[in-house]
Amino acid sequence: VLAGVVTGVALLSVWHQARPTWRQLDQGYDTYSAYSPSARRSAPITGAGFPAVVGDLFRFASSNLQRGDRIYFQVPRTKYGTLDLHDTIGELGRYYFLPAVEVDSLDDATVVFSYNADPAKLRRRFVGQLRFGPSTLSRIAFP
Amino acid sequence: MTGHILLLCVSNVLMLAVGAGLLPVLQLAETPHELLVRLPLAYAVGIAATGVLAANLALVDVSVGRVGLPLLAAGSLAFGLPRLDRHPRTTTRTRPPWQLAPALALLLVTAAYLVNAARLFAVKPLIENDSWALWGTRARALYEFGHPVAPVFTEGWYPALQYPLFLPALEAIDFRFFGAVDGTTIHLQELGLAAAFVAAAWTLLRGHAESVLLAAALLAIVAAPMFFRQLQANHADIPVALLLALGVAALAAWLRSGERGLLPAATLFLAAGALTKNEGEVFVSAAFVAAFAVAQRTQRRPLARALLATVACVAPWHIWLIAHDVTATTFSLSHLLHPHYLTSHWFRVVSAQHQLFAHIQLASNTSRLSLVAAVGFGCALALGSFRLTAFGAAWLVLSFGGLLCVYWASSQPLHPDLNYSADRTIDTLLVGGVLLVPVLIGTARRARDA
Repeated sequence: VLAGVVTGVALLSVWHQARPTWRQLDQGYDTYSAYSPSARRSAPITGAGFPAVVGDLFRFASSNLQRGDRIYFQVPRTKYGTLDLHDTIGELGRYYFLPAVEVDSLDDATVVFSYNADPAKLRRRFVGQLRFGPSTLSRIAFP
Repeated sequence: MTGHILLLCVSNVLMLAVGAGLLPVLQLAETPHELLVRLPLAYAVGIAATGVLAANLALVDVSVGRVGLPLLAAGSLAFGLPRLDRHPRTTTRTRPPWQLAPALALLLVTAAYLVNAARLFAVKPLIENDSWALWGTRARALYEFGHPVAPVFTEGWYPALQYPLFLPALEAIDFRFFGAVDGTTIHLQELGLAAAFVAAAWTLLRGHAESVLLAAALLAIVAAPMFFRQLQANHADIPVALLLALGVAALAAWLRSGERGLLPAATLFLAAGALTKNEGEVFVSAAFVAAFAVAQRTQRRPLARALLATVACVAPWHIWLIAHDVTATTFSLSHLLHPHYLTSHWFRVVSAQHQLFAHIQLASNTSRLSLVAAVGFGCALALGSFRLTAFGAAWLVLSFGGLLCVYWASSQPLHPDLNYSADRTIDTLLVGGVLLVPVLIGTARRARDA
């Protein structure tokens, strides 16, 4: 009898949320199956609240980085939602720009990724520079 | 994407082969027939063993991929299969199939949930913050470099440096099979872990539990809203919960029956859980403390060996952290040695305890899992299963206490930390508590029948 009672409580737990859980899976499928391959790749960026074009920007920058690159993020520390713009761009860059890795000092960097910031203010000589919308990828050295 | 799904299937079939080779080694199968019957368990054993091995090999710059995993599978089969007894003298009696029909019906519903989830997981991108910023970055770095490279795993501007490598190492294996990082298909690896959990729990615990209750408990876990919601977020909390629940339930069954194979299985799953997330180490420590407390004298030596084996699996990661001077962690256990810190931060314990309890009882997230565990433990007591219920209760209380200590010692601001994590850190307590119930009830009934 006691085993039956526990089985009943377990089935009650199933009954209580089985349908919402099933619906949640269906709704998730309906939402994400509509994504294009490009939208899936940019999902962390759009999910962080940036427009889709910023996804193109990260892909563009990423295609111009090399293995061994050490990247410095020049991004103003302004408020971004409940977060900080510098930290949010840094977080996205740390994921998208691998195998390039982030460094916290300009002296250690081979590349500077500037977003809403002017790389000239860093007073460095760059061997190459690429602009894309609000961002600039400036190369200091090759790895 | 279809190509990646097929390659993911290939890597998981190879993990299944690793597990199949290990079943005889771990004394979980002694004859070819047993091996065949216990193949569903082999998948979970294979994932756990591959993950533990890959996480530790990564520390010495050996990456497991398209070459390493087939070699591992072949080695495991070559080592394990000759150990099978091809001329068994005894045959095991099995229950008539019609007795299993209600349980199998519940398992079919569980399978339907997993299939429906597979549809979603095959198209879901990495979107939740931790899924890419933490776990995705670590898996991608292991894929790119083959080892925990600096500064990704050593410098404070990268997240969660103290988290061990089980999950990133497992996902990096899949990326190596794809030949690329695929943030969508990788969700199916987490679903594979969920399927392995259901199959392993059924295969491993069926002999120690009422089959209908076991199947109902598994369905209750899978149908709880938090289960797929968190699993699809590529977080490690549900994987820790699944591995720990298997380990603790197997440990409970071994404490009662002493059956061969249960302790090695428990050790493997506990070691994998401890290597998945730092909370896993807390839960594993609690499991061993509780087990030692209720173990009979003859069980203490094998239990000590199991503890040593678990420590041996986890120690390399901690040695690596010390050797690379990784000190930027989100909590410092040394805080717990300072009376002034403890008294001045007591409010953290009170708040954490309130919020964790609130989440445990939140039906919209956890359904009625806490009620299942509470009623189950109560019924086990009523049936006279004092020793095992004491083990289960001690594990839950110690684990909960361990969680409170982590929040107490944390250097993060309390409320954002709790708001962000409290609904996930309780997963192991709920999943483990519910999976223990069929074992407690089953062993109590068996003792009464005997």
